[in-house]
Amino acid sequence: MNPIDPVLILNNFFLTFTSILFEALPWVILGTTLAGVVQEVPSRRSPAVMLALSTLIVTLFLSPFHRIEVLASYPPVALYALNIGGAIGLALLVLWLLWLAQPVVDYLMHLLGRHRFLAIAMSGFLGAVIPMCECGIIPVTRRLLRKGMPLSCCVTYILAGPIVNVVVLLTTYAAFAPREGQDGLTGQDMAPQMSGLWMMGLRAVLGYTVAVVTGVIAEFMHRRYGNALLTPLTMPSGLPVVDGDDALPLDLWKSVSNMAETALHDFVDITAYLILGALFAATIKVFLSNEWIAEQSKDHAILAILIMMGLAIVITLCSEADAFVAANFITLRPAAKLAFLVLGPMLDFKLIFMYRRVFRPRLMYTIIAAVVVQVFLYSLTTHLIWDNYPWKTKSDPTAQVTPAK
Amino acid sequence: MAHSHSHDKHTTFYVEQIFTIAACGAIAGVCILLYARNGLNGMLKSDQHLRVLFGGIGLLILVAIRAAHVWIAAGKAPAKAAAHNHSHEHHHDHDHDHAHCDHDHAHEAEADDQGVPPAFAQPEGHELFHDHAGHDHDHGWAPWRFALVLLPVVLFLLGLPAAGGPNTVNVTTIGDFDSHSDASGKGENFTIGFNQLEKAALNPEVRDNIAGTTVQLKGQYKSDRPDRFTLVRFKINCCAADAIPLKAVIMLDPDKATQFKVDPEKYRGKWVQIKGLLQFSSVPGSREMIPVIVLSPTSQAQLESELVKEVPPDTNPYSND
Repeated sequence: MNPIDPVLILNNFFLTFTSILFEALPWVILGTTLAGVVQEVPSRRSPAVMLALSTLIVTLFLSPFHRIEVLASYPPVALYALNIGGAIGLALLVLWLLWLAQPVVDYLMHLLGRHRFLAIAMSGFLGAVIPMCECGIIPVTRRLLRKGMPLSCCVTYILAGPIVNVVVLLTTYAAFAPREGQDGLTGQDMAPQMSGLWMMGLRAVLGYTVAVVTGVIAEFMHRRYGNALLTPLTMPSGLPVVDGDDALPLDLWKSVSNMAETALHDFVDITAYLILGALFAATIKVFLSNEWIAEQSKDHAILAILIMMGLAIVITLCSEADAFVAANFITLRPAAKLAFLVLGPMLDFKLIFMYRRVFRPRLMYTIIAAVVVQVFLYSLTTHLIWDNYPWKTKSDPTAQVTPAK
Repeated sequence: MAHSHSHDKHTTFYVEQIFTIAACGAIAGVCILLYARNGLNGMLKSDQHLRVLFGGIGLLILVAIRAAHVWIAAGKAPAKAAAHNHSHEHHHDHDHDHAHCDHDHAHEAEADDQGVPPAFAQPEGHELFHDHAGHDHDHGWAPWRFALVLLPVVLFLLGLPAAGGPNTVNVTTIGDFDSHSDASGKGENFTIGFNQLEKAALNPEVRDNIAGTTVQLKGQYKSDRPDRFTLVRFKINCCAADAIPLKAVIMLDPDKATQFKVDPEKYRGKWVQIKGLLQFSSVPGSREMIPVIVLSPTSQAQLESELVKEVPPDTNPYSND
């Protein structure tokens, strides 16, 4: 795309900017609302409340009314109501069950509290329980930190959450599955591709590994430097947690209002930085074309990995959408796409701005360095294994030719 | 804490609260209005639109709750500010209060080098002041953040990006079967969208139905060969930032490729509308089928004026749905 018209360029700039923004905004609103809830609900009851809310999100996401184009011609209001009502009912059921099962939850929390590294390993799966993209996770994590969740677990959750996540993994599969071996009529410069399942699996495994290793690094840093690694807003209370009482706060109106205040405060805070990131990304998008990248990185596998990592940081995509963009780089080797898919949700312009609201520079740069180095190393390893995979030609689905119709 | 100080903080606190409420309310309004006016069409894929609506409604509810509370509190507060602080402390849970105190002082200690021990220096928790005090030291009363947050609102009021107006028209005429192209009733000669081509290519039944019809397609020319080129349009998967190029292959009828040619120099980078016979072909070394549109010109002039016609570029480079 080479738009020459400055008006067109400007319009594209605003289009990119607003689309990044409005894509992320619902998640920010969800995240900050959850952050408000985390702030108000007693810590002991948080798992139950969070799980109930995540049930609501997953049900609404998977439910058919979400596919609005199916129903666009005739919006059946009753169906909407049934769907939303059902989701809320299911969430309440989960809440009630977990309320009853509080001793089990307590025991598990106690167990995780004693085994830090087990807790870090489990935090990597937290995203699978509460499916949100990166913009929603940051405000929630900030409040979780204040509530006393260990720093290392939060780092792991922030990094793994947007990847090890039902919604994101399903879209990854959906993006790669129909593209197995596709490349226009100029098939000669096509790189051997992985199947959708492989891409999905490797994305999850690599993302999880990077997150857990970075979490462990953060743990050792925290042991050395303590809470000086955090911004004041995220600093956990120095006091022992005193809200162990079972009941929800008695004054419902007050706590709802407090929740709204926390949510709105966090919303303004996060959105300001989201907008900064989106402005950055939109500026760069004006000067960048995907074809240029594909050209540059066609022949050099290692360079391609680095370029795709840079691209992931620069174009600031939502982890729900980036798989489609990666899948479109048909001339690229799978390892480079994998680097893009794993790094993108962990590090991009909007996230750099948002991380600044959570971590002090020392920790932030450590996390960034750890993530970048790991993603590069793992992608390189994947590349070396994949390119020398002895059975590749036999099992490669692209090797089978379907006769022309 | 000095009384005068408290009053100062009080005013700033309310100003900030009002700004927060106003900014969030404006964003919520923009979300809902964008949805209602189909302003999201050029930006996001259609299944994301409902999310924006729900997000806006959720935000509006939060704003309403908060506004009501601040309204009530503002009525009470000036009369008995001090009493209010204390009364609050008893109501509110301790963790909340102390977390905020800690926050203030941790920062104060860092900023002013006072070395105040955190958490205990200021035992009263202020329900109404806590966040304000935080702001005072953390990032101050920071109007720049509100300015940033209001940027999308300003853009919306300016009608930028030009998505609600001409773009949507283009999107519908390009993206869907065009009703005002001639002979659309017969389905023999219709304008087809790239997304339909892509979907059709993936589905054998649709492929059978649609193959062999004469179609019109509009996109950006791209090629180095006289007998074969591609048209490119962008497709949105989630938002405009993740737009990916969709390609259709256009080739001259092999029998006529020696007589006629589509000069790459003439068309390079331009937008063209083409008209030809839709076929599907398998990709060498793959199971994938891709759409191929075959041009059968009768003369070079007809080829250039009718089959590969130069058209003005769309203001919206994206092909939706």
